[in-house]
Amino acid sequence: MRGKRVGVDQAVRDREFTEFAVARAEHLRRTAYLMCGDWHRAQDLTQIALAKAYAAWHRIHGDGGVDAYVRQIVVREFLSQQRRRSWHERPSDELPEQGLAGGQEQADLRLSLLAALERLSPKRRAVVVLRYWEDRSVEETAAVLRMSRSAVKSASLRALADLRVLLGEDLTV
Amino acid sequence: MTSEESFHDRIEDELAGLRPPPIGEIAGDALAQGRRIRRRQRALGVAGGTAAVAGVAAGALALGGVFGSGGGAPVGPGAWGAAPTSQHSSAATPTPTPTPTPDPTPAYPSTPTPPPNSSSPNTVIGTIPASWKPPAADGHLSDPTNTDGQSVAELLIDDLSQIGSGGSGSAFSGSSLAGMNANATLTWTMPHGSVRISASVSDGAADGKTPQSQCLPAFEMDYCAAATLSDGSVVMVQHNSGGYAAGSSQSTHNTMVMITRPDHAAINVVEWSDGPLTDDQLYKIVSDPRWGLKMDGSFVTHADKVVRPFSGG
Repeated sequence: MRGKRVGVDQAVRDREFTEFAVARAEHLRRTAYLMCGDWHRAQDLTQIALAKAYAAWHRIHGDGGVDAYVRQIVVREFLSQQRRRSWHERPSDELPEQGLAGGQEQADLRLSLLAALERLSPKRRAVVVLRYWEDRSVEETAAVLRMSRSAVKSASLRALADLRVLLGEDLTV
Repeated sequence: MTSEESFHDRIEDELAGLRPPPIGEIAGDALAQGRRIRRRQRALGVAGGTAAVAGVAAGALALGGVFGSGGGAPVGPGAWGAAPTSQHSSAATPTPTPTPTPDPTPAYPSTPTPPPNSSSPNTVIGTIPASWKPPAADGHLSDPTNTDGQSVAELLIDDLSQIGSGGSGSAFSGSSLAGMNANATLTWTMPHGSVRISASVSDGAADGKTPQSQCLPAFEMDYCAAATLSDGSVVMVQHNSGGYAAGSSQSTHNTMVMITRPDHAAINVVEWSDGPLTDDQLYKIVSDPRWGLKMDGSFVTHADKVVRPFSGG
């Protein structure tokens, strides 16, 4: 009897999860792409996040928290991967010199916003994506990134300033 | 970009111009991977339960000795901007006007452990100790000067000196944005170990939102407590595990205590360690009334001279 109940629960879970995943996977993959700049890596990040959401479905489902949970996993997994890679790539929290030099010449290059995003440090990129692509509040962004609200605001301001320099134009957020 | 074109719209447009690979059967693949995670969790849950309880108990015993009762001098309720002591090594220097030390709370490992029934929320929601009083009233700055990273480090060191059993600061880093934020991170080395700790002071009204006075259980953290104090200050405590200290690849605990005062100054402190600083001690730091986006000019000048930013290689 109990086995049958469990079977029904799992069937419901699978159906609910699949509906969610089909509906949200494309948006999640785009969010992941904005952070990592690579579609294949974005696909991996999305699948990992969805798989973890499935494993936690019983406690995140029903209170509207699934979207927030999956978004959090995507961002944290991305940053975790960046940290592991950083032993080799050593990304800097500051923009490369050539990215900022020669303001007028830089403006003439007309970087795309996506290309400019890639030049930000991973954490600042995550802040920008959460705040202005996902439209998350400072508090939500801080919770996802395990940062203080003030650090989020500071990172956001600096990232936008960097983007304005890189793009050589006004940036409306 | 025109003023009508938002950041979001522009990203949408640029993404629409790309040709990403097909997303394929990602839902089915994720479901299969999720089932494997669940099976592994169940297996580990049965095997790990007993060991986890034993580990927490042992940790509490070991860390209790580091900052036991009377482990440090209390923080004095100095006026805003009063110059702290300047030395970077200390032996728990008493402050001129000490206040009674609140009852010590247990060390970090006493954090409530989530119940084994995983149908409950992921985050344990706690309460702010009654001993946590609002910061002392503000005072007068004779020479108000913008706070910078070095000033934050200097004040943090002074507070750490008063709550701990003596130590020294090193590996400083920090930054500031005039009128918006000033922050610093440093390593505090004590006879019993060291912590990596950050402090930040910012304009809590900059985004026009009210401070977060409630914990959000949807987000993953081990423990959260929040409250509004009698003077209107909002306090929040968060414990997390799995975070990384800056410059370290070691996963560890991190604890954040944040206060947003009625004057809109938002101060938070985060430490990464195995938990030698208690929530009480971190609250003593953030509730120091000297924190502000402006500090006394002589203090800022002194901090700029004595705090040498760390230049990591």
